[in-house]
Amino acid sequence: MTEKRHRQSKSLRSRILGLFLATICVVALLTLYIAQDAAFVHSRQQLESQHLAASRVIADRLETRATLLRDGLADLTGNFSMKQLVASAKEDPGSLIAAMENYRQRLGGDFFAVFDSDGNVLASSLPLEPGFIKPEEYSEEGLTWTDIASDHYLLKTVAMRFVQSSPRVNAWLAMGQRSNSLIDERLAALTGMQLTLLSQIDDGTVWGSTLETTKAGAVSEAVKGRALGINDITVTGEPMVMGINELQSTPTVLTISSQPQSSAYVSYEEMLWRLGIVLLLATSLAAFAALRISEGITRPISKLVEAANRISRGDDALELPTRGTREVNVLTQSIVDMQLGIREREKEINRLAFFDALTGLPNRNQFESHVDQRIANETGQAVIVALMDVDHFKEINDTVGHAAGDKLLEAIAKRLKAWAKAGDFTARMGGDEFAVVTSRLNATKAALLGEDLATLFEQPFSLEGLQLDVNVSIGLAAYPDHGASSQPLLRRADIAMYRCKGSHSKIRVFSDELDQHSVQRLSLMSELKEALVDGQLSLHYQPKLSLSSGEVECSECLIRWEHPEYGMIRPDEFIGLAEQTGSIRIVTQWAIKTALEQQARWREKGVLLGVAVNISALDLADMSLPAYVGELQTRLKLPPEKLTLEVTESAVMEDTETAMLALENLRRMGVQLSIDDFGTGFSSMAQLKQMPVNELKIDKAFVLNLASNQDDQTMVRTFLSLAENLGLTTVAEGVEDQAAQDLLARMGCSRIQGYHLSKPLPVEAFEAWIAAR
Amino acid sequence: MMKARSMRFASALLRLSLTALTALTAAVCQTAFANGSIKEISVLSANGEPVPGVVVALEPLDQNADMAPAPGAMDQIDRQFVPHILVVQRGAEVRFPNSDSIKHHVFSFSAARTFEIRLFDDSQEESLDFPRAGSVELGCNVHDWMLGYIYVADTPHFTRTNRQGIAELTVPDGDYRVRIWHPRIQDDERLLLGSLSRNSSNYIHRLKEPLLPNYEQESVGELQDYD
Repeated sequence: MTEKRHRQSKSLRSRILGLFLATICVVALLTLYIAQDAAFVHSRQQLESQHLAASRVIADRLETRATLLRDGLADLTGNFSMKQLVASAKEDPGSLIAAMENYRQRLGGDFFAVFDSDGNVLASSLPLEPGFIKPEEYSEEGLTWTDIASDHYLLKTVAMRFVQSSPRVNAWLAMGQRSNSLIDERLAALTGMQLTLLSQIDDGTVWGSTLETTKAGAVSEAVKGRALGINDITVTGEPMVMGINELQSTPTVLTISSQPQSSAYVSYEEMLWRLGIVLLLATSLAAFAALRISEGITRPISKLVEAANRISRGDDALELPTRGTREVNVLTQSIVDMQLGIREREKEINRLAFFDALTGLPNRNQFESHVDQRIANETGQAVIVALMDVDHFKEINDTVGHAAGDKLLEAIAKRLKAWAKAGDFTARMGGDEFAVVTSRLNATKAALLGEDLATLFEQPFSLEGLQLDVNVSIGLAAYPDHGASSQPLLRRADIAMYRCKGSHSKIRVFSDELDQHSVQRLSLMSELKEALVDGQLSLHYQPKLSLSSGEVECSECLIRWEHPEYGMIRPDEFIGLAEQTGSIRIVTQWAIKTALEQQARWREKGVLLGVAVNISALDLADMSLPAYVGELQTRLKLPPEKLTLEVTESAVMEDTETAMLALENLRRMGVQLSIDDFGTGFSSMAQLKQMPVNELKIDKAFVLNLASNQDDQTMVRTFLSLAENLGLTTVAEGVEDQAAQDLLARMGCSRIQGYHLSKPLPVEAFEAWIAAR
Repeated sequence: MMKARSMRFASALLRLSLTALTALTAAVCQTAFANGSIKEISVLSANGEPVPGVVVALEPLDQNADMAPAPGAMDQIDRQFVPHILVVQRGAEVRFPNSDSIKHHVFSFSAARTFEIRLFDDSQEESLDFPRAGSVELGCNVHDWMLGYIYVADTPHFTRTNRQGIAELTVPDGDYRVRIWHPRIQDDERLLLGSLSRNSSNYIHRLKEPLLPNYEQESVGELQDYD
């Protein structure tokens, strides 16, 4: 997991936070919306009731004034002096006017008048047209209005009876108050609003207002067509809330209470502010809570991540969240379990890494580190490393089966374990290879260890009822003479062991001479391809003599490497390596090509001599070989039967499908096939019968001492009769004297090859040898 | 105190009966002196019902009526004017005794006689003459409910209608102007006139306007005086 991917994916914490905050915001906004809506309605209702109250205050004020005027007048009508003044009004109007003026001031009125019982004016503060006012119309309770000289008055009258209980009215007293003096600042202060009294008659007339004059003038126009109740109206550019209500007793008169919208909705706006602040606080608190919760979740997760990272680094995760949510606890437990599992598997892997599963012995890794450790610990002491390899283990495996092969290895391991003394360390290095390290002996006595080990194999191994004799090759190397660490020591023991394979000795201690050789072998491989191109390789030819005709009909072509530095290198030394490195194909192709070209040249000289080329088992695994051969023969116009390909018995017996297919193809083309080194392998008669071969080549081991060894004669006779029965021709190699030749001729062998005729010769020498015959 | 009050009531009754007696004697004398005739005047309301207690005065058109006017008295008993309506001949002297133990302030702003008798009690009886004909409305400035009338007739022939709304008068032969008055009558004063020739003995006056509501100042007992 890369950091980038971590960054791209949202963290749990931000998700929780985001979700929380989103929810809170939605709730807050919803609350705000609903609350502001409710608050607005509430505020609106409050305004409505405030304005209604204002309207009632006006009405109350007017009615109070009306009652006051009426009561004052009523009081006045009972006044004896006033009666006298009224009774004598005709003779002395001045006194009446003066008295009425006095009472007008006392009652706070703006206008007064006295009428006689017929409605004629006896006295008045303003000039009145006769009959303009009918006094009885203003005598009832409630609000009664009149217009006098373009002013509007609340007018009340009370009948005066000289004798109070008289059924007859003697006079009327009238007192009026101008409408605009009724609506005053005191009233505005009381209601907290600007008040206006508006008559709807005559297209609207403002009867009184506490509004400033320009606004008051505009009110009548502004409220036209508006419904009763509160209205938002802009008057002379100022947005106002206006409550329009009818005056109950006089519906033609409207009371208008007004206030600037800014102040009207002050409580509403203030409430919104408070609500906003409360919601903000709540949101912050909730966000804080969300943060805490998400941290509570993510902190243990971070710890677990840390623990997992430690585990992945191979460290022990010690710090694990001890308390958390159930999910975290489960996860923690899982990680603990995982860690335990990993430890156990590590142990198992360790075991597998350092021990051999089959035998239970330490493996190569452990052996190497043990050797290194021993060298480091036991300075000055000799450390002797022995490497041991079972001879022909592959053949044993093939013969008795893999299961039995494994049993053999186990048995060897068992003997090794029993043999090992204190301080000895044994291991299985892989395959059929075992190793021992000891410090018991001096470095010079390394060979003794080998001999000691060899005794383990003196007794045959008993496998599934079989008594099996097993031979081993043992290579030895000692510290400090042969190396300062496990690597060079093992490599050198290996070299020594392989030297055993090439010789008849079982035990070999490493020496510098061996190492040089092996180093040379290694460098050869890298030079092989160059050598092919440079023409360092050449073919030597050894004649095969036909015993029936006494003619040389064929020659085996053997590869020689004339190294510019090391001189002549024998095939044994590089063919095996070429097989291991895979270069063998190129070498084989080169050999076939060179041999066929030589054959073509000989044919031009009039001699059609057969050529035999050795091929490796690996060449048969390559299906391209038949095609290659066919193409060359066609190009050079050579008869296929004049080419013999020699394959070792073991290579043929591998019996892989492709090898068989390749051999079948070559055979069908007419190419002669020969089994090389016959007699050394384990070919069965049945296999042999099915082989697509033409020739058996009897191994020189049976031929070298043929004349003197009776056993070899028996073997060769058997081989020859077998070949005869299978319809195969025979070649005996390693013929070194005339006696052997004669013997073979008598036995019915088809051809012979060997130093008795000629050793392998370069082409010029071979041609000379042919010419000399 | 009860005793004193009943005593005063008794003396008031005595005075009342004396007054009545005087009037009766006068009437009898007139009948006895002159060889007059009996006149019957009916007063009907606008809807035809008889109106009792209406003052009816017959003013002679062809003879002098300057008989010596009989004096009258307007008492105040239990904070009421007694009688409620007093009819006197023009020029008569009217006494204003006070049978109550409290003070009264009797006044009138009527055109026929404007006066004021300031807060007096029974110890200081006042008398006033009434030289002009017409109705005089009496009030008491300290007792708003008190209401009384003195009707000053320009003739010695006057009476009031009985329960049947009929007034009966024995007058000397001659032509008379009939004048009708009552505080409840709203009709214009000029319409409350009628004429009664020497040959006719009956006059029926029908009012145009409805009567003012009965304020029940007048006791039934008073009306019986005229029966």
